[in-house]
Amino acid sequence: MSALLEIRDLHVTHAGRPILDGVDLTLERGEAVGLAGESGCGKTTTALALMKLLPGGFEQTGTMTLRPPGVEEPINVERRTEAGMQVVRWRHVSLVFQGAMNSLDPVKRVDSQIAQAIYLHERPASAKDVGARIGELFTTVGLTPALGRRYAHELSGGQRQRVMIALALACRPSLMIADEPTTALDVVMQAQILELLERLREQLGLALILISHDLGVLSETCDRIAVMYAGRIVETGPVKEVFAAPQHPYTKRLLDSLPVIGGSRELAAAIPGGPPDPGDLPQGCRFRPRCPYAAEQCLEDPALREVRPAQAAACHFAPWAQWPAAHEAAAEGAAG
Amino acid sequence: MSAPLMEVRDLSVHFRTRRASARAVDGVSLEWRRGEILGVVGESGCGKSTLARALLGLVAPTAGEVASDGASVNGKTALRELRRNVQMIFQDPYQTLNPRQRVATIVAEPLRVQGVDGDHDARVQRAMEDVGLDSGRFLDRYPHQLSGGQRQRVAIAAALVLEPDGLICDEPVSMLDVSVRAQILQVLIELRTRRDLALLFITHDLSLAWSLCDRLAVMYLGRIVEHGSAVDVIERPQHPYTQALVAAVPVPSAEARIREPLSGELPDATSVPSGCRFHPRCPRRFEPCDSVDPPLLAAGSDGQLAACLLHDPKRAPDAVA
Amino acid sequence: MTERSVRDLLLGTWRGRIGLGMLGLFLFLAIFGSAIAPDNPDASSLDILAKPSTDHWLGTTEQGSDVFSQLLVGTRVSLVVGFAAAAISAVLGAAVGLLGGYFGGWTDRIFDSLENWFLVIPTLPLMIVLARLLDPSLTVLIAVIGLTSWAGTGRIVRAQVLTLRERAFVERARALGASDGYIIRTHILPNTLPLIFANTVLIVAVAILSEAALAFLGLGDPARISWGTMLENAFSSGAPSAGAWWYVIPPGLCITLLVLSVSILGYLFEEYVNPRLREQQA
Repeated sequence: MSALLEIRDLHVTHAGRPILDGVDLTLERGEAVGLAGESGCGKTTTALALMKLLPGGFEQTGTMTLRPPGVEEPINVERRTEAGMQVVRWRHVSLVFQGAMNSLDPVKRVDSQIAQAIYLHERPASAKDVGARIGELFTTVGLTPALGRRYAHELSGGQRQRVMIALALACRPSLMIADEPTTALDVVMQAQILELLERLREQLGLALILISHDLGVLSETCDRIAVMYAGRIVETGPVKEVFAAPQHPYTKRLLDSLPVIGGSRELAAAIPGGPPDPGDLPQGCRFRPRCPYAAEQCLEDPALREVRPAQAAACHFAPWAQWPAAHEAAAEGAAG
Repeated sequence: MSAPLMEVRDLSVHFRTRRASARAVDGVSLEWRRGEILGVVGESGCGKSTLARALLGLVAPTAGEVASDGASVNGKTALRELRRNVQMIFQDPYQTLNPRQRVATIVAEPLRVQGVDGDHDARVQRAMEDVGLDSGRFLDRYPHQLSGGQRQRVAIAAALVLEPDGLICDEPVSMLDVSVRAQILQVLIELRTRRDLALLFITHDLSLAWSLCDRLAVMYLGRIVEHGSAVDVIERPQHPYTQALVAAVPVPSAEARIREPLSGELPDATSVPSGCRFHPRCPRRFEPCDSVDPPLLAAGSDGQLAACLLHDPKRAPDAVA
Repeated sequence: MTERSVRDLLLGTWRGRIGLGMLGLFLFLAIFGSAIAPDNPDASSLDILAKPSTDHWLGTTEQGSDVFSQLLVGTRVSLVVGFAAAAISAVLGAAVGLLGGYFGGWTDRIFDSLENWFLVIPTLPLMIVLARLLDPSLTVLIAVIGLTSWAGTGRIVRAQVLTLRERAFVERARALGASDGYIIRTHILPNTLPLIFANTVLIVAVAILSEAALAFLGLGDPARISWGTMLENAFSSGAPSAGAWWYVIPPGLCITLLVLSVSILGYLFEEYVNPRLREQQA
């Protein structure tokens, strides 16, 4: 069975500076992949590139192939024009933007906004059909259909997020991208939304790309995870494996900085510094200046390669059987 | 034992609108001891930020009292004194600095406002060192030239310059990236050791509260529903709400978890349910819960309190909490 | 943002250079106009409504005065009235907006009603009435224009103050026990200045046009020459029907160009103040 989505060698530049540098991603039907990383690493850019929604000034190259169920010919997204993309967007791939719950039109009732999306992408039989569909969508996301008559400000944050998800499902896509869907929500609402996403996957066979800087959130919902740093994927693998045995120092550090209830209360030492500026990338491995294990050979760019079954990492020293304590000198040098 | 740095007794803050009264803080009694990290957790809308503001007199209490060092904070002099001893850090690093002022001005401002004599420069220097910012590089900069983490450090430096005894931190890291978060937390912890600073840490991140705080108070709809040492409260929660919160925390572990998230949402502060305010959402409610408002009762470990009738031996003698 | 980016906008873009250049030229004329004018603009001669020639580059008026000299001298009035009226409007509007927005409650309600009143009244008729009631002079003109245009600024400033008031850095200052006056001075006002400035520059344009309109309607200061009075004299002496284009077009063109240059700078400044507009340019 061929994959639902195949992204090969995606490069995105902006004003000559590399934002995404050779991203490969594969997604099977019904699978959930998490894109992890901090702000600026390129996760949102990847999502926007896939939907061809990058603003002017951004150049993208690489292939993005979609094979949605029920569609004969594979869709080569990179070759589609803007008109061609109208058919792809929302119908096959939809996107819940970051902070989307604040982007509902404040002067329109909520159901009319979903109706608008349906009319834009399909030619529904009648207004009654659309109404029925919206009611169905609301129920699917756990909202009472009556809430459709409300305005955005009359709904809570959690309810608005559910509306955005309903909006993303309006045209029955086979793939949904959710960019930081729970970041602004409380832990209880977050759990509710994540549980909803899981249910959607079961009921609708929906494939999911979940973007988050919160590894805990990704661990609960995703089958596989791709960790991004400075425009590149530095580790991929099944979520349980990556968390149990990370193979890249950055992943390890990210996991370490998450306090786990019931474990050690000691906060891990913070990674000094910050991600590199796209205009001023370090030579070789991009994590080298902040990596406590950096050595001579790290001046050479490590390729993303399989280091354990189904797990790939871009590190010369992978596979890591265990993680040695960082040398004091190495840690200090890395802080520079 | 010395008097607590700050204390509130039966504090209520109600906001009146034309139609109703929003009971943001509704009868809270809490002690914040010197040198301790006290956490206040709860969902947004539970009143924790209002509580913090009431401590510093930024909102006027409707009832109850705010005390510092054992004495009630009444009158201008007491308030002024308090505002020198206790400082506050805010959530959004992008809003917390005046975009038209240089870092040097921002950090020295408290000294000007409070009319402190002496060498401002030396204090500013020390504060910058304490937060890990190189004065030479940063004093001349404007906020837009700083990253989120750096801005938050400047805010902390400005809070330190008056050499306070306590720092109220209202979600100081929730808007920062993971690695920056760790850096800022490191700064705060070091301050506790180096300057013997007490921290009041307000957050909705339970894992963070668990790893950072000494003691913890859980707030729901304006009331403290559980209170005790952070480890006890999070690892052995005694109130159904705390239990639900802890269960909802996503954990990057290798085992699968059974999920049954709490249903519904935090009600509006204008319509507080009768009896125990949590009862409409409580999976363990029983007969008296909709009419009796439970006080904080002893539950679980020594010093742990939960406002739940399940811990009232008279009403629920066989309940296993 | 820093001063450097304002300079970039002003000197680095074509709009900035043109706007600044034109305004600079008019400023120069306003100051030195009377010194470099070839003839005494009030001097009459027998050479009535003469065509442009080497003696009179832009011909003469119905009284035989040199149009070119009048044009140069008239620059001063237009600019003085424009800037002075805009300044009054800015100070009034800013004060009302700041105080109403910051203190809220009854202060705000009273100021808001005041603003409404001034916004609703049609400005030109109000100006005409006021100019008629009071003796025409430059001061009166400036006052009238200033008083009728402050409400817009007031509104904009108030909106800005309302958001600023809730910002964390203001709360921090309050948590320190800073007085209202301190907060307004140090935190609110500096963050509203760019907005006030951008808005005021556009009001300068309005003021210049208003002066021209009032002067054209015969309500200007009769003792001074301005482009508006030139137009008034031109029309009342029948210059258009006499085909004396050199009398009618130059003052009108000057008004247009001055307003244009001020508007360009005003919009440029608005871009600087509004970061979203700036991004679209980049």
